[in-house]
Amino acid sequence: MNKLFALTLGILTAIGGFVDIGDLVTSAVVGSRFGLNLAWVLIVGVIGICLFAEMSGRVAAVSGRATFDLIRERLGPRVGLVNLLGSTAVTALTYVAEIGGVALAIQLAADISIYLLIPVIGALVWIVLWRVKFKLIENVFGISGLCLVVFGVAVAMLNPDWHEMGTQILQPTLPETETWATYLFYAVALFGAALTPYEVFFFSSGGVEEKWKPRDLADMRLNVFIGFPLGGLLSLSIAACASLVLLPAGIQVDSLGQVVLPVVVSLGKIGLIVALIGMFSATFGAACETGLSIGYSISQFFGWQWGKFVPPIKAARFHMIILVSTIAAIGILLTTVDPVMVTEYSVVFSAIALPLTYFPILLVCNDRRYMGKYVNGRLCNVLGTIYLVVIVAAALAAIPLMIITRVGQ
Amino acid sequence: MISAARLLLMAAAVAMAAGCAAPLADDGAFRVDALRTVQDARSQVVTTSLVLQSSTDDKVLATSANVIATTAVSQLDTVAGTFNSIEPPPAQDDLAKQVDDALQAAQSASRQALLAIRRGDLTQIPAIQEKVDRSAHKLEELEDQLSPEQAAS
Repeated sequence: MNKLFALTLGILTAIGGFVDIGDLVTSAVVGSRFGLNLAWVLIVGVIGICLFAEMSGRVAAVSGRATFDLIRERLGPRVGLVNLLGSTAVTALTYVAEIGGVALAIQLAADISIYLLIPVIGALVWIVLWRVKFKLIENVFGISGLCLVVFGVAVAMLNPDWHEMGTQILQPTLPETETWATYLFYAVALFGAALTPYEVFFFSSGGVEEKWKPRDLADMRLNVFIGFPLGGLLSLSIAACASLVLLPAGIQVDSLGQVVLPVVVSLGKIGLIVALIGMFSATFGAACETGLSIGYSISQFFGWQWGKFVPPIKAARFHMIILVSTIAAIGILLTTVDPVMVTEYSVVFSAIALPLTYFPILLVCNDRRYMGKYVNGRLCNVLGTIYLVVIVAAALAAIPLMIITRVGQ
Repeated sequence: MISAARLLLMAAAVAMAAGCAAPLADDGAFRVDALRTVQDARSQVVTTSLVLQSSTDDKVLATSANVIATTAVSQLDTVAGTFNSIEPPPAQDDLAKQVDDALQAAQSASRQALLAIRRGDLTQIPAIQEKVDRSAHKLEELEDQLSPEQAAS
């Protein structure tokens, strides 16, 4: 019974913890401009994150070491450093976006200036990362993030034409008002949002924190292959909500308030309150994950003691990195930069950095010295290689598309 | 032979000069800017309209309504400000005036909507809602007029 409870909890946490500010904003923007004609990218992205999260989880369970720990050893310090700089820069940008997202979610509920909220939220995130146990962070924010299911309920209550929605997903077309360049730009952004690098750093380091062993592989796979796709459905329902309410009205999402408008229209105040709790939990949980991921990747690269499984005094440099990056994130947000704009850039830069994260994972998973009999099978390698080609194509296309479309305009 | 440093300096000077030049758009580019402005403005006005309607129906928290409407009004001001900073080519003066008039009407209606939302003044809302919807409709007409299909025909 306990085992079943733990498994259910793990899956629910994976569902609720899947969505972050990048998914919230990008899904709503895409839904409000393209309907569900880009939903296929979300499906491709979810399959990709399942594939690579399983690999990185397997690395953690079999070797007892996390991704960056092995990247430096496997690729050497120079290539490893390039990898570290690229991935950490993107994760730091995502951290800024997540803290800004928490502030925007609270602002919607309390009507307090985000510039008053940002330092308080930054401090709270840091205190949580310093004092609260890893499992508790993961479970509390993962479970409360499930409130985002309200977007799915809103879709059902809006009485959509299910056949039309299915057609848009399965036979996508280019809306008349858009160009191929913007279509491709948002395809890359959505792909980047689904495969954000911090997710695998957090997942594999979390595996080490929780002391996964090869016997835990089945549970880990259930979490990944059930939890992540169901989490992807949350993103899809956010896009569907936007496509049903905002697209016909001519609203193009550029604020978090517009993301919840379909829920307001469909379910009223109660729906709005549930959505705000979900958005707060999703962004706060993701802020914790990104903050930890920065600490994980830098500490693992330099071989410092890391993690929340040891007291903070024993992992002082790890906690110092988190503190410094939190202060930097607060500083950046207090320059009055728009958090939604930071989010939009973070998902595009995430797409650019994808090969730096996913190529080494594929490499390590094929190394018998680390993986023994748990090396990738043929199917895993074929899929991994296909995805790597897609990832490299998305990374190469991201900047030209960003310039051509003036960041998706 | 020009040294790399000199080449870099020249490139920087050209870039700076380009950045300082007044933005005088050609006819086509101006129409594209106008279309984008009208689309962005309509997006904000319709957002305000939806919030207004939701407030009337008691479907939205007062705090959320205020935040969403304030953001929409502020974005609308930014959109209008950016458009007004572009110098129209002489042949597009009429279009510039049309867009400017539509933007001013939208700004005025949106501000009244914001005040009504902040004050929770439900009696005023139907009249303001009509004003906001009318300005959204005007922007939609302009959008149709400026769309590439209309321009081609």
